[in-house]
Amino acid sequence: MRGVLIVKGKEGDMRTEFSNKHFARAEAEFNRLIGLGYLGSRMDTPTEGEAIKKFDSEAREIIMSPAIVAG
Amino acid sequence: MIALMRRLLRRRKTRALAEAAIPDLEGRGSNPEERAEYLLRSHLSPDQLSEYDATKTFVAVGQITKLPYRIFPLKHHNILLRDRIPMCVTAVDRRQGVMSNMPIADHMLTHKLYIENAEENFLATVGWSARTALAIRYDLHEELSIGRFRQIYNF
Repeated sequence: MRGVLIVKGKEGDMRTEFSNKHFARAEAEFNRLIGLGYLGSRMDTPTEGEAIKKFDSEAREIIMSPAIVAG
Repeated sequence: MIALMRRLLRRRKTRALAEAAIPDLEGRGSNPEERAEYLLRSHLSPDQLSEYDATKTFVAVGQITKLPYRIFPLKHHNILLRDRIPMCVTAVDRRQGVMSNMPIADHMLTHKLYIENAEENFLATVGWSARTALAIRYDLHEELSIGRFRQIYNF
């Protein structure tokens, strides 16, 4: 099974592919971004997702969104 | 020396032509704005997509409160709760401590994901709980129609 970690940034989205056996790089990136306050959304379908705080190697797609503040 | 420079220039030109000719297999486009627009569109529901095509705005329904939040194509001050109450929320780059300079479509998708998947976090940024959002007295706020909102923010 293959999944993709999508990180939004000024250059557009950066994609890191992973599988349920090889996901160390994607997991490290996920944990780094969660530490920076990002929201991780595991997308179960293209339009429906769930917020996650722990990397899910079985996910089809995880979108990382930056932290938000009032203002 | 001149021959070497000519060869280098020819090689650079060939490479530039080859890169320009790379087909866009995923239809995502090549610049950040196009890719962000593709990402946003691919994560909108059919209703949201048709509304986005018509008005460049769409409604995301809150995960907990089920309230409608209209998201506008701006980087901040871009949300209207129940088409009435403006909410000032923006994505930030915590490494630099500034507003994130993502393309606008990425900002819109960020807000949609927060509202639909982490509404409590979203409301907490403006100091509200889900209960506050549900109990708010809309008649105490200045009512802003979408047209007025467009006029104020000039988009």
